[in-house]
Amino acid sequence: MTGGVAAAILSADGSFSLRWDTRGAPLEWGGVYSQGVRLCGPWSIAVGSPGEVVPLGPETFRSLRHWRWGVESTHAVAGLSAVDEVLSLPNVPGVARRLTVRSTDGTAPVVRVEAELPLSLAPVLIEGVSPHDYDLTTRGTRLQATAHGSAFALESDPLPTQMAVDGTNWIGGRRSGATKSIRIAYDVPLPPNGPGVLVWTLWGGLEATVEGAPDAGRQILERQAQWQPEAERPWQQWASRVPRLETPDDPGLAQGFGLATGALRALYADPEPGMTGLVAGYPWYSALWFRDIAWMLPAVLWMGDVDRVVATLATAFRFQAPNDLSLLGGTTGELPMQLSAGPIFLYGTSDTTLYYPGIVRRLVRHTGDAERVRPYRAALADVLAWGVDKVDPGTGLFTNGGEVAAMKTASGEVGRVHYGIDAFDTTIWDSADRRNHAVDLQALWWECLDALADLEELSGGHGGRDLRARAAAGRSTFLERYRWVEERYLYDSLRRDGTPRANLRPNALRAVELGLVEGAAARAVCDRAAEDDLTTPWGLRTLSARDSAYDPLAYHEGQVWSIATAWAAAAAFRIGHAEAGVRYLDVLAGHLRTEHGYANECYRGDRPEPFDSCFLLGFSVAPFLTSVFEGLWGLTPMLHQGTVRCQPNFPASWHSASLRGIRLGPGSLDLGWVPGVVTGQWTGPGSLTLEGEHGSVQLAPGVPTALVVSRVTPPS
Amino acid sequence: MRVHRLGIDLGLLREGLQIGRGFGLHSLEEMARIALYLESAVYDRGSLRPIPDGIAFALHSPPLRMGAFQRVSLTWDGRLLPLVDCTAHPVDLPAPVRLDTIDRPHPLILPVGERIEFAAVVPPPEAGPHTIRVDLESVAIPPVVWFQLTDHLRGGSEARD
Repeated sequence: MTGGVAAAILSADGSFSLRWDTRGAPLEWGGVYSQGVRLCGPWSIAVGSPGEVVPLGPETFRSLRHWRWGVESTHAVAGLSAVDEVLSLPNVPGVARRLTVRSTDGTAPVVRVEAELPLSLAPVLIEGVSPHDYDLTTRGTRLQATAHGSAFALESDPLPTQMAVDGTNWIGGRRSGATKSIRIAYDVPLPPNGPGVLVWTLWGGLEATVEGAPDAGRQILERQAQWQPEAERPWQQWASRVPRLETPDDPGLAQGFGLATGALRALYADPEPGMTGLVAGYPWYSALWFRDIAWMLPAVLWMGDVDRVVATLATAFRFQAPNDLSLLGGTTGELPMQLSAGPIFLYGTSDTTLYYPGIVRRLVRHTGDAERVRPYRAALADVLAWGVDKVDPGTGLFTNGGEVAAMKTASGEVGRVHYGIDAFDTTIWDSADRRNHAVDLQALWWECLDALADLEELSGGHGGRDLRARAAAGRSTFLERYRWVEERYLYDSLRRDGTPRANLRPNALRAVELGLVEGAAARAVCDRAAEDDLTTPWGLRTLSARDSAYDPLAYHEGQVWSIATAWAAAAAFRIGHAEAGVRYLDVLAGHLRTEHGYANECYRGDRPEPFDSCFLLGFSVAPFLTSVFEGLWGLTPMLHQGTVRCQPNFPASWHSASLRGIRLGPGSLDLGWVPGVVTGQWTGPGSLTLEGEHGSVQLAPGVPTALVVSRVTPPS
Repeated sequence: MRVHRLGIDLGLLREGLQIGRGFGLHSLEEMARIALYLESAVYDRGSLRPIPDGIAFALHSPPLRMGAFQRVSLTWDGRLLPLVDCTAHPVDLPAPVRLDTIDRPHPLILPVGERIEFAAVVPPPEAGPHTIRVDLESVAIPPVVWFQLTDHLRGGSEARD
């Protein structure tokens, strides 16, 4: 359940509990998350009479209603019924909770409610570590917990009757030291003809946030009649203007599409004023990770949320390293990988920075506003310089690896304790050794140069030709050195001495998707990737099962990743293999349906079970959505030229499809397809050119117009 | 050595100033806060102590990684200790686990924020500063995660004599 500033993790019985396989062991993730801090663990409630309270949970559970913005569970306890509502607060870093209790036999004048609140206040960027000492204070109606600059405030109406810290009664005031949990008791009067109501708000994150808003909790409680409409409204408004897909020949795909849009929206996050983005996932990646964001922003654009893209880019470039910051793993021009409220930020990846010129280009193409480049010109020049610095002058290949070692050296003599992860490399599979010239990094660098060249020309600069020449030289080297003849595939990486890393991974598909490899070679790569050592019925493995290093439980050495499956879909569409593309999309849509609107990060390599996986990851949702627009429908917006390219890839067995409400530039586009014809209707100022493979048509506002497209011949 | 150390410190100062200048002093404060958090939230400072046949110390939380670990090892003053001589005792387990019994089918589970007591057989240690390194290998993510601390052993062999 998310509200843009905070999130809560609950289970299907309405309790704040999620025991979830984590790095190979079931760990508990229930709680409230805000500003990059896990505020608390499972916040449980027990109801009854003093000394005889019954915990609300599986034993008392009767029914559940849930939305992306709230959860309502009903419970029955002897002589009582209870409704437990947890709601997001759209503009406050926290949640509201309301417990409504009725006497079913009319005998109880007062009900005892006891809440157990396990403390956490763990910054989510730092895996595994949680505070152990807390400062607890009561001030007015507020109970506040603080640890290492993180804090939460809990306020309630009515006020507590009794409190205990780790089983010992506490009358309030101030208390410091090792603490696990607070137990708070309330006596709630039950009027003769109505329910008793107990309301809470739990909010926080940074200590400065809590300290800076002394009246916030009380104000939230005073607005309790507005909680539900205020939680629901942003979602309703958003859902009403999201593109809608219909695929009558494959209704599961359209259903998955709808679920994916909501899942993506659930990741939208504004951790503090001036900091905008999307969190990478839940439960353990609930901070801004800019590699992950780069994968999400194209889909955010397709959702029509241009303002979020612009604000996210502003956030990313605000933290571009102005000079080498080796303690944080950054070098001049680099964009951050991780960012959390504070701000706390870290660099140190080989790829994150490379995505962003392409994102800026997409922004211009979607909005039609070439002026969008202007604010980023200097920053993009720094990106280019950063990239050029990582190019091997002898080969022209982009170099990855060693980023973590540099950070380790810099921090080696600081402080009395030292930490480290002996990772060699920081590509998207950052626990695998893919040094020194990973295949997908070459494709990404090539795309980066191509985007920079386009942006340079759009903004009237003269450097485009040089950039294209650089890209062409890199491509030539790539085509010469990465071809893996025996496997009809591409090597995963080249070592610095030029020897190949002959590991079969899905990353080679990125070279097809981005157009670095074309024609027969591209088809061969897609065909090889589709073999069952790499492709399973539940997605693509990170490493071929025939590789000696394959391990079905290893994060990047055999597990199935949804993002790799999306790469396969995009590559298949790129070469016009509609059936294969849709097959991969169907796998992802199937996950979204069976996982109730979420999409796991990864699955075991040997069977379709999530393992060591966030239950929702932007990686797993956004590329699926993007592929529907750009692969299935073959859409490339070029609004700065008043054009949208449309070269759809529908399977031969399909009879119709539609995609409505695509927001582009100043207008909205509806598309309908039947074999051989796409009908477009544009609602915007002026006309729009819809450009197909065999010609183009002008879409005048409000006039449905047909574009002839390729009619797919059914396979023999 | 002193010059080298001074160089490191001045380098840090310069980087701190650059972070402050580039992103505001507030960001520098936040970085310092996290650094202090990392320094104090994992190792139970002062927990290093002599026990019969060796030493013991405690962590408040696993460092940088959580979950199941298929290999855990300890290094004492630069010497990797035999696994058979070391134990780990997460607070939720009834008894210590010998590190040589840990493997993939029988991993050591370390939840977030749960105290872990380590013990190792070492020759009678001197009182004073000692360096310990803990290496942890997750069952799910291959790269080793390590944590190194230096602390004063109180009541070492000198004190006991």
